[in-house]
Amino acid sequence: MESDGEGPSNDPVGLPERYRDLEARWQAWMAAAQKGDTAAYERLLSDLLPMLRIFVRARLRNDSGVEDVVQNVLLSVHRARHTYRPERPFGPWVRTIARNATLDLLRAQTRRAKREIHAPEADIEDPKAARSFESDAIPVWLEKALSDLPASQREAVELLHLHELSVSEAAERAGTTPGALKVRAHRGYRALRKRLGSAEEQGIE
Amino acid sequence: MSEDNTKTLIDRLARDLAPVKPIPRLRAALVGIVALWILVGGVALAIRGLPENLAHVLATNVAFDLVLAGLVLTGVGGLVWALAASVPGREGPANWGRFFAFSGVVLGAGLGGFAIRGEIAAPSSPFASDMICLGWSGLIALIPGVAAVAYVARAFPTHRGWILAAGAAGATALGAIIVHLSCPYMGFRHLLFAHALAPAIVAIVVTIPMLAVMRILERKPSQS
Repeated sequence: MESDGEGPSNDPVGLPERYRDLEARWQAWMAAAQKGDTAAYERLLSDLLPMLRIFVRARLRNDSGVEDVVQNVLLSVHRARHTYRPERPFGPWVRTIARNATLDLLRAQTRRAKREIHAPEADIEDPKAARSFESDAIPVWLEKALSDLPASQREAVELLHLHELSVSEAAERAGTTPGALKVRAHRGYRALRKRLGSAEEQGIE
Repeated sequence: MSEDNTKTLIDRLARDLAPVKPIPRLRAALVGIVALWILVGGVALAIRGLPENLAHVLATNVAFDLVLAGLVLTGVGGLVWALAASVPGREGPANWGRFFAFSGVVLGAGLGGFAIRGEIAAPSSPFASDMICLGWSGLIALIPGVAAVAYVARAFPTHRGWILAAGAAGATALGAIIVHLSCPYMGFRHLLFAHALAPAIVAIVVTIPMLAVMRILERKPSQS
């Protein structure tokens, strides 16, 4: 079959002309980024954003987590950049990372949904809290307890448990080391346990 | 999370960028692992020795050949699956590897086992010889297996359970090839469990505890 310029071509990559240009650009930028070229890396990540948003949006049930997943994909691209070989196409490489990050988020949502079934009954009876469950937001009792925590501890707890990031991803996002993040999170859990324990004794509002 | 946060993240990632060396090609890694296997397997063969009637068995015993072919498929397939599944964008080789690995088990343990029953009327071997052959397979697999794990650890593995199992099965199958060629026992149970099923047995034995250890090491602070 002859290539008409817009349709699929006969080149080994099997991409239309315009995507081949894009592919070549991304390959060159990634190869430069592997050598430490920060400008090429910034251009590459910025250039990828529209494609990543479309890719992720098409796979999520709602729009609420799209930007979150896109950020996870960028972090994964950063951590996996050494696994890209410059002679190989860039598109399949980045799409695999995006697909895995999206699947991770969907699994995390399923896990969270299962856990929320076991949340305190008081919340379910509260119409405001019930709305929170439906919209996949943080329950009111937890939000209140979290808001009392110092900012660094709150961020650590949120990244690990609400956004379901791994310790290293959360540390990267918070701009700290995994060890420091674990300490912050541990202190946060202790404070939360104390607060939620005393709230339970008094009856959750 | 807003789009502004994404821009900030890109700025930070670019700022933190350090040069990296691309991971070796899959083919190069596979060739390296096979070269290690030839080296270790050669030493093992020198120690164990080859049976005098090996050429005759290879030419006339279909069951023996089916088990051997199954081990070769599982060995190469399992390793390709493990290595390729650790590198984003290499789903093609990973799928082929998975296909060959499972085909090898079906061919070796399924068809081979079926053929052994009908073909070989050898007296059953002592249980200790089963364990010795399994042990040798594991021992020969050790160095190629560690090389495969080193590649996987350097890459970006996602489904670690499957990758561990595939790598363990692949490396053990390579070890079992040497054992199969140099083993004097031809009993049904021995050929099936100590040779044909050795990759599957070792994969299960290695993967489950290793996954448990990895989960314990990666526990989040709230669960510790």
